[in-house]
Amino acid sequence: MLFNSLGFLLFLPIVFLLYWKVFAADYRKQNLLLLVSSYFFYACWDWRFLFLLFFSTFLDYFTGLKMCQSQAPQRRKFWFWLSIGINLGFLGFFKYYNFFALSFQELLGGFGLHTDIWLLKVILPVGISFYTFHGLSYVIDIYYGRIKAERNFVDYAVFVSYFPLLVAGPIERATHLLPQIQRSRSFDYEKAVDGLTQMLWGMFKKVVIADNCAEYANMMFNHTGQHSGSDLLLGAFFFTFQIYGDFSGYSDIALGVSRMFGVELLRNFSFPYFSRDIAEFWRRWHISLSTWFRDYLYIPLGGSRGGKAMQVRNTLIIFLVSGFWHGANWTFIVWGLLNALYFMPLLLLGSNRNYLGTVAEGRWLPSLREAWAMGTTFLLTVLAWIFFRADSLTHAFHYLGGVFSKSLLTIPSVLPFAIIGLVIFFVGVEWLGRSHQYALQGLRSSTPKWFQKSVYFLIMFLLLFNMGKEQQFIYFQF
Amino acid sequence: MQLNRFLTNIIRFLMIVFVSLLVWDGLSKYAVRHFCSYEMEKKYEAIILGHSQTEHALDDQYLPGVKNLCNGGEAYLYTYQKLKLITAANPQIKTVYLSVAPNQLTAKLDEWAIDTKNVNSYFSKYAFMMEVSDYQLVASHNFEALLNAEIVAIKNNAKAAVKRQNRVSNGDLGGYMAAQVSKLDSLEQQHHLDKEDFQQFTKPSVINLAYLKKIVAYCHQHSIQLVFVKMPVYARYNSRINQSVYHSLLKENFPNQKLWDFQQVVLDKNDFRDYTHLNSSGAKKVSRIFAQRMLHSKI
Repeated sequence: MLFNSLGFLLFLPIVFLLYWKVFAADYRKQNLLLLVSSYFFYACWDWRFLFLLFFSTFLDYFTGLKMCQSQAPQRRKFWFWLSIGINLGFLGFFKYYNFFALSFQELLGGFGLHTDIWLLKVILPVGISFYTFHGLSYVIDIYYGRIKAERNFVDYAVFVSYFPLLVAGPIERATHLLPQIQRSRSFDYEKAVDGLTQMLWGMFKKVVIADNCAEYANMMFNHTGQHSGSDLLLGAFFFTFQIYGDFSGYSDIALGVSRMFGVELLRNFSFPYFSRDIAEFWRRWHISLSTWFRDYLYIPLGGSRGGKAMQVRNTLIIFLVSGFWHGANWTFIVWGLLNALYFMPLLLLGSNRNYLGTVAEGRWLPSLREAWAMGTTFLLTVLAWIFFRADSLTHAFHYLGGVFSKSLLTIPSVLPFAIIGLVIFFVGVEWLGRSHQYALQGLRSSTPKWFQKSVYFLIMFLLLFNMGKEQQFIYFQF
Repeated sequence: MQLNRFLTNIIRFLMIVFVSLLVWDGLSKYAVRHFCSYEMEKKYEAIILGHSQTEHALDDQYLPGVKNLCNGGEAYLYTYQKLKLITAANPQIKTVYLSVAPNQLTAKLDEWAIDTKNVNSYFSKYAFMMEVSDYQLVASHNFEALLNAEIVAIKNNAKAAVKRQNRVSNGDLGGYMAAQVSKLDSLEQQHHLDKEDFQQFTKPSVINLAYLKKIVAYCHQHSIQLVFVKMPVYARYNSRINQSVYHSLLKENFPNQKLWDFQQVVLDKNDFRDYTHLNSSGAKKVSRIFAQRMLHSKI
């Protein structure tokens, strides 16, 4: 079920009313409702993969309990590695098997050996990367004694499959989400309105910005050879806004919906395109994944301890794994490495933590220096997104070759002014709200009611009248 | 208490949005009907309606007094609306040539009336002409697409009304489309014919047939002469079609209806764009023969 579908518009009010009207007195019943609704939500996409989700949930629940019950370190280790092995095994099988099989086939082909390798003919179970990472963080936290195993299966299953975050995150931590599931929740008007506003803004990002930008970006990426450099550059800009609108829009909807149910989720985006360097960008983009890698990979690898060489190695590994997490394609790996390349000079110069606050805090406009820093960082990310969006490395280099051709200085043949206008409006609103959790959050505390209502109606009508052609959420494939 | 306040405010907000949309919808439909023009020059006394086969095959520059208003992929549901619209605005129209090809009477092409793409482009275009039963039909099959089409309709109607367009002359309602190429050789090389679904011709339509009946009834009621026309398709393609369902449907439902079948027109490979559509060279030949037929039958 997609957040931007009619089905979800029916599903959400029904679950909301049952949750607050019928089961409000007992949080355990609320949890059960959330679990059943989440499984229904997932089954609407493909009920067969529900078994995989259930198995993964049960595996981590069971191994978590076993780890806690085991006195001997060897047994703890056994249950720990069993869970890690099976979780990563499933993820590897569904997500990476074909990639490795085809790469191996190509390698053999290079030596003149032609083989018919068996390929998996199953679509990737939606959300597998997300719920696997939920489970992994839970098991790792138990193993290192940060949390105790959850004894209530329903509570644990809600933590893994809670519908707002089930298919595209944010990637939650047991330490953050489980305590909220384990206690009673009461309806809070302010929070519910805040959640609804964030949801509305998320819908706008997805349906108006991402889906409209997608049409133009797809045109450029699907017919790269037929367009001028300026067209292709504009196409890359549109993809840059598409992926941000798509993924941060999804996250906003997820956070907003969850807040309406009285559950706070981890923040996933913090206005990344206003970053002044790549290090800041990565502190603001897909935050739940970056911090996951930081806590469960970078720090266990040694983190910043052991000198610069170790730091460089670990950072490189993180970017590489992060690229590979996004998909089984060399384009994602190169995207990760390219970002590592952008990041390395900052790391080596020790300036990767220069920008920790909000840009131009307390001012309407950035200084020239800030504008320059934001502009160059933005352009670097645009170039990196070309690898992310391209079908193959050949395609990415072909696209880049097209951008940096003589025709770069020509006027683009297609200039969708309406979409450009919407993007400018969007960037403007995001800029004004950049010191808040999401762009419209400050509206309620700093403007009169009539203005707030006018903005809600404006966004609603922009949403209705500027819907782009419906596109699948990009991050569903990860 | 807080929850009730929240629900009340949400319902109030949605009601205002909904009512505003209804008002916009009504206004835009009124505007597109009254501020746009659907009139044609008085010399046109006949129109051609139908899907892509007639759209590509009948070049109206060779057909005196006839205007081709065909649209590729148009289901009879939408042709019916167009017929009402054009004939109401142009009382001089005495004859309607309507494409009735075997594929138009198959269940597969019922999809044309209700699939998301067509509802988006055609329903939104003719929404202001639709009757309640038409809404019910589309809503029962594809409610989400219908809602989307209504929004598209509001937008497009408003744009057209502001520009005060003549929607016949600006091509909004269709027209002859010349195809310059012939892809038959490459299709034959790829054995494309073997990939075609010829089973479709054995399963009769429900929706298209119902609206074809409405078209016939409308023409009869308004004393408009209706002629079914069937454009030539490539001979090898035609030989694979099970024609019996088509002919029995016509015989059963429209026993007295004239059918002009142009399958026997002598054409060569270069006259076809693909198996089922003519290119401009083929269109020229067929249109001339069509003109002669008009002359001989004194229509």
